[in-house]
Order: sequence, then structure tokens, then C-alpha cells
Amino acid sequence: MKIHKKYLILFLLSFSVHWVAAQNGLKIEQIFKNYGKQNGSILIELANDVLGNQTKINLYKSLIISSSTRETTDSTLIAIGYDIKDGSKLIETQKDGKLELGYYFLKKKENSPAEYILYKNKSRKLTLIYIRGNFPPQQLEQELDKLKDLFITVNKKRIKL
Amino acid sequence: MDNKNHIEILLEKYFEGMTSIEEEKMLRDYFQQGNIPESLEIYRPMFAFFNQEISKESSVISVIGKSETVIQQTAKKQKKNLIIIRWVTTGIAACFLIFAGITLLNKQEEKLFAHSRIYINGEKYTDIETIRSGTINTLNDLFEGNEEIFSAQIDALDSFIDE
Repeated sequence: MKIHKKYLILFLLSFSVHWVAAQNGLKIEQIFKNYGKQNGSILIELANDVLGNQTKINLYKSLIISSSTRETTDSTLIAIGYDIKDGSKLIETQKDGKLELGYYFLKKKENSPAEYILYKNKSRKLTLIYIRGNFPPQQLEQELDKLKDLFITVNKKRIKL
Repeated sequence: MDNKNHIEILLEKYFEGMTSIEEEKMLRDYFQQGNIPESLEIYRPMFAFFNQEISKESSVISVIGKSETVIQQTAKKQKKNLIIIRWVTTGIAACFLIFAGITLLNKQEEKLFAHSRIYINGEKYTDIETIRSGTINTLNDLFEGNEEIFSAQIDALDSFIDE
């Protein structure tokens, strides 16, 4: 019994570490995890090998769900709502009372890069993007353009867009 | 039956090995007192010797008892130490798990930063051409019809960015 108690405490301790670590993450991470690898989805994760030093974006994640259901839309909106609780809305457009486009700037933590969530849901095609980088919201569009340009010279090879 | 006769009967039983523990104690107590008839005086040294032996045994038992107490106390201390050692090792193991957990999480993040990838219908691709077309399609799709909306917001951002 005592041994069980000891292992239970150990388990709870290790679980709490993961729980605490999970709390530091964003809720939209769960959306990427849940829907990113299913049929009809495209999940992109860009890391340093592509991003390099040519853009101020140091992490890019995007998810496209080609035909989103009410469940995927609702869970995505709930996750976004939670993550932007202390953040700012950059753009928000609605159609028929439903959110169609949303750009959000998350609350900046001290000495941490800025974080952005971009959301679009038009004709059941849901797009969710998470961006992290050292730049202010004014430069967001510029950095996204740079991201497109990145692929032109990747691997010292010119790629036709 | 007077006391002397009673003792004589008990003595007979004693030598036949028929006495109970109480009766033997009664005999020993009897021969310890001073007022013993002459006819029974002969048995006094024998019972005095038995009394001595019994008291020696008692002291040995008491020493054993004391030793047992010391042993029990030592065992208790050892048990306590063992519990402390167990808790310390548990604590070390827990710290190790916490450290391992954090390291693992950091490594996962580092791993995420190391290689770009794209999953299409759950299938993973790492070639740059597929990643490129996927990213550009996503961004084009995002901006489609929203360029003006986005540009119009840029000026409005200045007010809170410098906070």
C-alpha cells in the first residue's frame, strides 16, 4: 500500500510537470493536433531550415480544413477566444453574425517574441495560422510577404511562384 | 488441617512432581519465612537456593526485556531513517522526472524548430517544393479579398503597439 502511495505521488508529480507545461502552451495547439492530420486537412510547420534569418518570423504553423464542420469551427473559435483573452484584435470581420476573418495579437510576455493568430472561415474552408516572431503588428503583413518571398531562393535555387 | 501438615502434603506432592506453579510458590514463600518447624528445617536451604535461582532468572529476563526495548528503539530509529531515505530518494526521483520532463518538452520544441514539414490528409512531406506550394496557397487564401481590410488596419495598430 505504501509503495503504491509512493508511486502515486511520483506519478502525480510527473503529471503535474506536464500539466504545468501544457498550461504554458496555447489552446489552439490542440486544434493543430486534433485536426492537422485528418483527411481533408493541410498542416504546415515552418522551422529555421526554411525561415532562417531572412524573416523575423521564427515559428509558423498553419492549418487548412477544406470542409469544416460546426464542431471544428466551434472548437477552433473557443480555443482562439481563450488564447486571445488578454490580447488585441487587429482585424475582425463577420458575415451573417459569424466570424469570417480574424487577426489577433496575443498578450506579449516580457522578453518573449510576439505571437499572432490568424483565422479565416469562408465557404466552410477554415484557415488557422499561428505565428511567432520578434516584430510588432504593423510589420505582420510585411513579414508574411517576406515569408512568401523566402521560397523563391530557398536552397540557393530559384523557384517559380 | 494445620499449616505444617499442609506443607508436608505439598512437599510430598512436590517430590512426586505433582505440584502446580502456585503450590511451588507457596512452598518457596513458606521456607523464606523465619518460623519453620525443626522437622522441615532440612528443606529450607533447598528452597532458598530455588528462590535465588528464580530471582537470578528474573533479573536476566529483566535485562533481556531492557535489551529488547533497546532493540525495539533502534529498530524504530532505523525504520524512521529508512522512511526518510525513501522520501529523499522519492524526492530525488521526482526532481529527476521534473527535469527529464522539462528537458523532453524543450527538446520537442527544439525538434519542432529544426525541420519544416507539411501534412496533407495526414501524410507527412518534408520536401521544400510541397511545403512551398502549401504555404503560398495558405497565405494567398488568407489574403484573398482581404488586402484592403488588412492595410486599413495598419495605421490603427500604432496606438497600442508602443504601449
